[in-house]
Amino acid sequence: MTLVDLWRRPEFKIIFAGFFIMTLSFINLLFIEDVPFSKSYAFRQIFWIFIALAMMLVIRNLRPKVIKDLSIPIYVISIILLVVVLFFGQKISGAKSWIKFGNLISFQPSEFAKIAFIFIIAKFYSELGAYSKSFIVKYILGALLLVPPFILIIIQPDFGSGFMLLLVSLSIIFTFSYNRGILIGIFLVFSIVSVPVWNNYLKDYQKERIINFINPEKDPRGHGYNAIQSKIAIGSGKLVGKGFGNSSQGRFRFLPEKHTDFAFSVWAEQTGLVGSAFLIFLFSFIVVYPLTFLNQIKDHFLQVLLFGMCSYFFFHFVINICMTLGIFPVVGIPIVMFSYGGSSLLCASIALSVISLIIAEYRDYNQLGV
Amino acid sequence: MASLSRKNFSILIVLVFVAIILSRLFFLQIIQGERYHRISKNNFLKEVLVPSPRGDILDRFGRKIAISKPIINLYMKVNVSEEETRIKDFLTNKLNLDERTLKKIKFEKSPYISKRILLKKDLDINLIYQLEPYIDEFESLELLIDYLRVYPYGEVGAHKIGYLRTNDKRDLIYGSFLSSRSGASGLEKKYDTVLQGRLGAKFLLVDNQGKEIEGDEDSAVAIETKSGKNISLTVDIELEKLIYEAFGKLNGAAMVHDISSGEILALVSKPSFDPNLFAQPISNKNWKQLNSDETRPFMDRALLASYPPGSIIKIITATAALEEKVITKDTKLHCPGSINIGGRRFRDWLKGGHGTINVEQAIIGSSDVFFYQVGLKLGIKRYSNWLEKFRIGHSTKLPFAQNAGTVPNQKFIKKYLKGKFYPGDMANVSIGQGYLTLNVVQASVMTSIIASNGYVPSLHIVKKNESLKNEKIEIRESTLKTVQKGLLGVINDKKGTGGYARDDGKLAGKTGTAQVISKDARQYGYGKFRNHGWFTAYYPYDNPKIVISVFAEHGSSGGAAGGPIIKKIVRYYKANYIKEKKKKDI
Repeated sequence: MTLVDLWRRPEFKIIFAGFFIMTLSFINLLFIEDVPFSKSYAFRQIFWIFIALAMMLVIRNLRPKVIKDLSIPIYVISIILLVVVLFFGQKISGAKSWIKFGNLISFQPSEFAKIAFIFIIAKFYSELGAYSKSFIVKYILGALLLVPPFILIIIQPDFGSGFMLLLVSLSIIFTFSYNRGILIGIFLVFSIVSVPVWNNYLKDYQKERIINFINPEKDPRGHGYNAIQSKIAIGSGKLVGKGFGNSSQGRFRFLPEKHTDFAFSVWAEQTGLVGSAFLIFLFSFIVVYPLTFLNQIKDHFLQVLLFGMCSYFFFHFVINICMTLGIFPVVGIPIVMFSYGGSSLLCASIALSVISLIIAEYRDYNQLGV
Repeated sequence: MASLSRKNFSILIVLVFVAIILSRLFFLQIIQGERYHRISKNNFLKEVLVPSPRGDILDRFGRKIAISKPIINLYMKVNVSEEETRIKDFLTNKLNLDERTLKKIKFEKSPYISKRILLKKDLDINLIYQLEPYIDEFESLELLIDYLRVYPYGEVGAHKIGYLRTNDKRDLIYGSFLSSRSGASGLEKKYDTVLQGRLGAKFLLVDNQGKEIEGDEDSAVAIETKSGKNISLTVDIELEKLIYEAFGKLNGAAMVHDISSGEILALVSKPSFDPNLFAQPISNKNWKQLNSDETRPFMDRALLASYPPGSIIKIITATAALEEKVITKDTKLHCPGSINIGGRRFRDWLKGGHGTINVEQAIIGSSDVFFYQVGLKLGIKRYSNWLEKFRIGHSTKLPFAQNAGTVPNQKFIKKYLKGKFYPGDMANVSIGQGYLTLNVVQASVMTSIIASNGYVPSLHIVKKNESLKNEKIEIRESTLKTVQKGLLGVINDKKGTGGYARDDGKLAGKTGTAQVISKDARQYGYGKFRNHGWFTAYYPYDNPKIVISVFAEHGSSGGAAGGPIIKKIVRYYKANYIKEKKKKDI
């Protein structure tokens, strides 16, 4: 079977797109710093990319039924890891969210928890949800599953991951519930009530505490600086970019997060509108292409799982890019696969192979003319 | 929404976001691309720091005790690469900088991008006019407004206001700004988070000439400046000044408080230091001088020291004896010039003695022999219990570090005296000598309890909106009347020891003289060996409003040293507070 044959099979298109993004992230990281290759982020990234590929191979050989049976163990393991990190974790930039093995390998349980939660909520909706269409079961019990990982992540404190978990789970609940009207109602009431409470009943120091809680100041110079520098970097890339290695903003003036939170800014500076649009195309392909299969999937579990994985990719890339473009405020959320980070690469590879498995199960051969 | 399937709805949302992102990218990279390209090449983004003033500390009438005065300083940015020699030449020509400052001029790639070096503080307005045209030529030089802490009343009340010190954490990031200094002691420290402002930072886009491009969307506020908040005290700073000056050559401490509200009107310790010296890094010379001063100006004599109270404690001895029914108000005891206790001779301060007197007369004449006898009958257990009821040996809720003093209670006797407490010790303690110590705040609380018929004042120094509840101690009315009459007599009776404070006949109080070392030292009678003087009083007798306590270190006798000070305070109070009320009534 040649590569072209593989590409024609829908389940591999996703894998290809993901691998493509990982390769671009490696190239991007290669030109960010002036250190020997063996010590660079790029080197560590390529190491993780190989592990991620190996992981994909393993998962691709599983049957969807096995994934369903694994949901509960995966969820339990993720909670155990989150508890372990609280006691034995390494503190990096203020949050105790890393388990370290030796010098090279460190693992972030909160990344894994996001994926694990998608499995459990899918299983929950497909099984319990089938017996009961009651409002309470749908929302309250679903929310109860969210509580343990969410709280464990917030006390690390890793607000970025906590926020992500919340967004992904809300998008699933919203899409697969029977009472969207009620959800919208709750949301509206909450927003209408919270504004006057914020304006009238909270004291200044309480507001400050809440703002600090949502957006803790890691950088003494304030986020305004990062936001402006990011915009200058992106804008100065113009149509075709300054070329690799010529990122003046990225190389000299940028902040600790240029390899994670602001990786896209550096990419846009080096490759211009052409490069950044291409990256955005790859990301939207990973999200939209699997969604086109959504209605064909008859198994409720796999349907929710597929949607959850897409939503996982979607929120990471949209929120990060909007932040670098100055559309959203600066919140510490990296882009999966494109930012440096082993744990998120591994989790992304799990998500990609699961998507690929589901598509393989339900692809319509007739459409392909096979 | 219902008409859209899950699939199509989700895809639609994704596409909407992708469209937003692409159009934003198009705007930044194509429409604004040239501009950002220029900015990125030349770094036309100028960071401007905006220091914020520290909050003021005001007295009860809004008079300024501590303020922030704007000054203009010359700073140099560290992270700019300019010719060092050119800058040095310019600065030596225009400014006469000293060697030390000139050495500091050095450009470096610091991880703290915003860091500035302070070149010259508080520039004169003429100098600013001279410098301004040249400053724009140098990218690294800038004039910034900073704020200097000023204490208009200087030494008066400095212990409780406190002083400032360098804020190392902020200085590391931004360089030295006077407005960043943080509280090192007193209220400046206790309320530092309230008073302290936040240094802000703005980013301005500038053109080739370094001029700001106005209204540019990218000129953004990175860190918002926030001014510190003011705090208002209950203190009357003019009264404090009067007290500080009234001490004359003497050292010591004094407190005035409002009986019903618990508001402290004055809390003074002398000698003191000038907190203005700490508004900027203090010079070595000044620091050494302050620290080597024998009178120890940093020592807060009002709160951090405790001294034997001398005869003022007879207020509690008398109350305890009457309440425990050891004596009645009519019990008469014979008081010769001395008495034998445990084989030792205990003298009265009055050589010939007081004759046969009751408790009221004993208070008025401050008879030692009377209270030796009463104290021995009372016993240390019941006596120390009453001392603690009057809050002796306990810190107040004031926001300061305090020395609670000592009460020879059971715990103390067990721990420090191996359980042995002799009748001689008891006799000493009952006239305020020996193992009993307290400070001027506790003396005021004691007098306040008697004056208000048993209420413990809720002392506070920062203005509060709600009124505080005063706890009540049960003391019989007859006891209170007897003691109060005695206190009135101390000042207004011919035989009273407080005649120095006599004025309009409405002041009641008690004097005290505490021996510094031993009786033998008394013969020296001067300097370090002179006795401490105490005077605690309340005014007016028929409707008590304020309590005044004065402690005069080595002041010889309480009446002579404290009396005139108290008289001045009462006159000030009458002129400024009582008249005011009358005006309002009309």
